[in-house]
Amino acid sequence: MSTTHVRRAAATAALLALSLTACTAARGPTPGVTDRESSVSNPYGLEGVYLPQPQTKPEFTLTDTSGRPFDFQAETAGSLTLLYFGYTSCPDICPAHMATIAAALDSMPTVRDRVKVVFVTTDPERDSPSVIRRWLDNFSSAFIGLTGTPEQLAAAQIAANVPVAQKESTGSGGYGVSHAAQVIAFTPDGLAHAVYPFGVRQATWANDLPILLKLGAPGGPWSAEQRGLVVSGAVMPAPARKDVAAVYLTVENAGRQDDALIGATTMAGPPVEMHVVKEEGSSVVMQPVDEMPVPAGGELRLEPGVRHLMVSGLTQRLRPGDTFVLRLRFRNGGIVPVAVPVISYADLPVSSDMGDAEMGDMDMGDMEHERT
Amino acid sequence: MNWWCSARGLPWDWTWKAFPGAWILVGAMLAAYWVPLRRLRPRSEPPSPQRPYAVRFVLGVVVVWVAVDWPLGLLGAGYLLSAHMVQHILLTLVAAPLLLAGTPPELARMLLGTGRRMRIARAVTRPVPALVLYNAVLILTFVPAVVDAAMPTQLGSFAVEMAWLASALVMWSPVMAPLPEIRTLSAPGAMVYLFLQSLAPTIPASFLTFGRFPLYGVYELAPRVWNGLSAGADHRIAGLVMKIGGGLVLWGFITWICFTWYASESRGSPDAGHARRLEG
Repeated sequence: MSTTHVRRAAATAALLALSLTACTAARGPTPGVTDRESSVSNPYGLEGVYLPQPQTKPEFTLTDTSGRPFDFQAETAGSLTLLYFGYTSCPDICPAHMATIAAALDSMPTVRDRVKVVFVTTDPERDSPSVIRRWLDNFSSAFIGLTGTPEQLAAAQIAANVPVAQKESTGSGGYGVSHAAQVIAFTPDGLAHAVYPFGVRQATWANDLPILLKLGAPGGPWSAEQRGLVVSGAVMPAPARKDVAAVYLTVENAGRQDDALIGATTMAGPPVEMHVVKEEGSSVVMQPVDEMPVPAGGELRLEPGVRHLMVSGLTQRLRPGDTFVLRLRFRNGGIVPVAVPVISYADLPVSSDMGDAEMGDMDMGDMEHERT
Repeated sequence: MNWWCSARGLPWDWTWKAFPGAWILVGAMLAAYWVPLRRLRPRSEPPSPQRPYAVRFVLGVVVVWVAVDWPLGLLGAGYLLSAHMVQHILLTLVAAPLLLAGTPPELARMLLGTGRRMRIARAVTRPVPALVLYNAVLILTFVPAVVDAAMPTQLGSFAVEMAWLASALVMWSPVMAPLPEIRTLSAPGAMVYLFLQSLAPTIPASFLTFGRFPLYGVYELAPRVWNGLSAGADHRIAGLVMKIGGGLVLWGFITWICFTWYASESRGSPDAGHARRLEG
């Protein structure tokens, strides 16, 4: 570890400690960061707190300052996104974060347009959309402000892996909000590789934002492809029923790090479950799982009769020749979009593991489901 | 209650706050002035120093008070670099010369004695050492790491401000030392000396004015006093205050020395050192 890296790591650790101890309005640890990890240098020259285990981009839909629904994943796809939970009456941390980011972006015109700053209020009672807009405009009219019901906002914070903000009485009839103080930076690959606690300065943003854009770009060192994940053979047999369909594919992991498929979404939003297929006696049972391992140097095969992704809630029957996009989420590899063609059952390659099962006759809707 | 202004990270408000350290400093300065003078003066004479000296000294103490107490002291310690720079100018370029000009020779002689203290004073108040010492303190107290470490603590903030005042007393001595034992520069020499001093802060001021990012974390991350005043704008203003504000004060002195020198030359009197002209 070079001296510079040691100094940077020490400074980062000090900043982190400062943000967690000195700021009364801040609460909770930085997601995914242990004391040991935060003091570990990173090989990318980042001055923020590097996350050796990247954090996946949360899924939530809130309301933006113009009153429209804002699907966080969809609206920020492909962008470097800085996500922050705060409130406009915050006297110190929130305005400091916003001002620092805004000033840093102003100094980098070529970077500015490729970064989305999303501010999610933790004080919906006082922060109406117009209040958020007016406040954000003090820093930048390009900053995105979101609000929602207390339940939606709590869910969004949980999804983003930060502690849920709490109201705290200030003693004079008013209240403050104790909230997470870190900005989470999601790179275009859909993963957060770094977080920025309170105390991060303009120079740090100016250093890190170009690095995050470069390394987190599609095809960049942090992308799934560079990490050794290659998805192939994705197909969806034309479903027998209108609302349920299975997807089969193969994921090869040529990298040196174990990974896992931890979810998938479609652009249209129907839920996607991961299933393994088990034979129990004479019946075939589909069991939902939370993840499917992709070992380093190995592969994950989703094939008929073994495991598959099940898309439900389709609103129209897909027919051979149609194509749709599926976004696979890997623990380390981030989000990998895959084009999935719909084929007829006759064209579906049959695995030897299937035994005597006739996939053409399989009706996903009628199959037994087992909950774990 | 805090005894001295420091960066606390709390939101700014205009509610008055007490900082007893500032009052104690002011009281100590006044006591250190009047008590020895009462002892020095014969009973037959009035117990106070000559009025012009007293007026200048009290004005100097008032400027120190304004610089270190609420609101300027608190703004400068933890909110605005521009306020910190105003403090610096008040303490070093306004209070220090007033305090020196307000110190009667007998009091200065009593404080310095005739032994080691006097020898040290004579050594450090020669122009080159004085200039070097003052600018070394200036540079040291504006090093970002020092500012960011010192200003959040009361002791650090106090030390920085007292270092400014002490080094400024040394810096002004070659121009207006209150004692004939400490040689002062001739009028042209004093003008050159102050001119050189007006150039020195140009370098750090340029870093502040033209820097891409704020230099000091304590001011960059401080809660904002006014929403419209960003940390970057505050740094630029601070650079201008250091360069233009400080320059104006020093050039004001240079002009004053020039005019009084011209007046004395016109009267045909030899230049006997402008320190004498400061006497009441």
